[in-house]
Amino acid sequence: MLDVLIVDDSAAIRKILQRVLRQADMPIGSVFEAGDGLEALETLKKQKIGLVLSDINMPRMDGLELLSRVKAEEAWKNLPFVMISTESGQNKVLEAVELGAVGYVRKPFTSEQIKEKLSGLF
Amino acid sequence: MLTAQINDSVSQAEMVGFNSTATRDAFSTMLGQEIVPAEAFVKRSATTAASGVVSLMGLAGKWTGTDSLSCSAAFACRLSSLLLMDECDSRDENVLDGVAEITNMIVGNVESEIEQRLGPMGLTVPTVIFRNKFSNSKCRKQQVDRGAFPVGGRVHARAALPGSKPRGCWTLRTTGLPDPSFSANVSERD
Repeated sequence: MLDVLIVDDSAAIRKILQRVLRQADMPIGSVFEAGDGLEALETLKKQKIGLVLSDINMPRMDGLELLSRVKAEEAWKNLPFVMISTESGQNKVLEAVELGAVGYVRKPFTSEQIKEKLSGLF
Repeated sequence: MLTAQINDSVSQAEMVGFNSTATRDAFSTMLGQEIVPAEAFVKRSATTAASGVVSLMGLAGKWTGTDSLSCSAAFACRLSSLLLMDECDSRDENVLDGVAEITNMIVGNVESEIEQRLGPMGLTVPTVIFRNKFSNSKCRKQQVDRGAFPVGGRVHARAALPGSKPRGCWTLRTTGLPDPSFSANVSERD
């Protein structure tokens, strides 16, 4: 079972993603939430997270900075990281991939798109 | 590295198209509602006092300005209920958060389209305001005083949920565009 961390400043999106994960036929354990990159780093220190789903545009610390910090840590460098964002510009996607994101989902998204993107990670 | 050629102009028709597509996409995918954009038209008059919910996002880059989406409190409640698949109270914080996220999806996708022409742009997080009565005219004055919004052009993308109760409309405005010809309005067809 894999514990998942959802990082998004929107409680609405966190709630929607929680629902999608619960309904997915995947071995998902606990689902944790963080409202920005700084909160996410705190959760990563306390919990054994197996997958991160993160927005890009967030206050205090955005998703790309979070991804960069995660990949710089020896303990987290192999942690699968999927970006879920409205920022679908080619440069943003390339930046996320270059930093080590294993997937990119554009908002708005369907639950099928999320499941499809995650299916290869389990 | 970006390979797309940067073209520093976006026509009014293209701008309307970006807004219409982003709004239709967000409503269809996240709310399960198909909407039909109506004919675009220019609106230059100052906005009078209004009530309801306004969600604002700032854009910065070659163009600098603000996108704002507005609707009635009841309609915001309806949108958030559809988004969260849960009943929302009009004064519930979830309603404002739902409106913020729909704004983020629409404006974020418009920004991505504009970025291909104008180069990299920054986007703020949404700020959502609920009030019984407020006026945009004071805000417009402040924008002109700061000099950051030289023209105050507007793009409205207005949509309605067919057959929904309460009925309402969803308005998207873009201010600060460099050319007044970008002022446009997309509204629902009866």
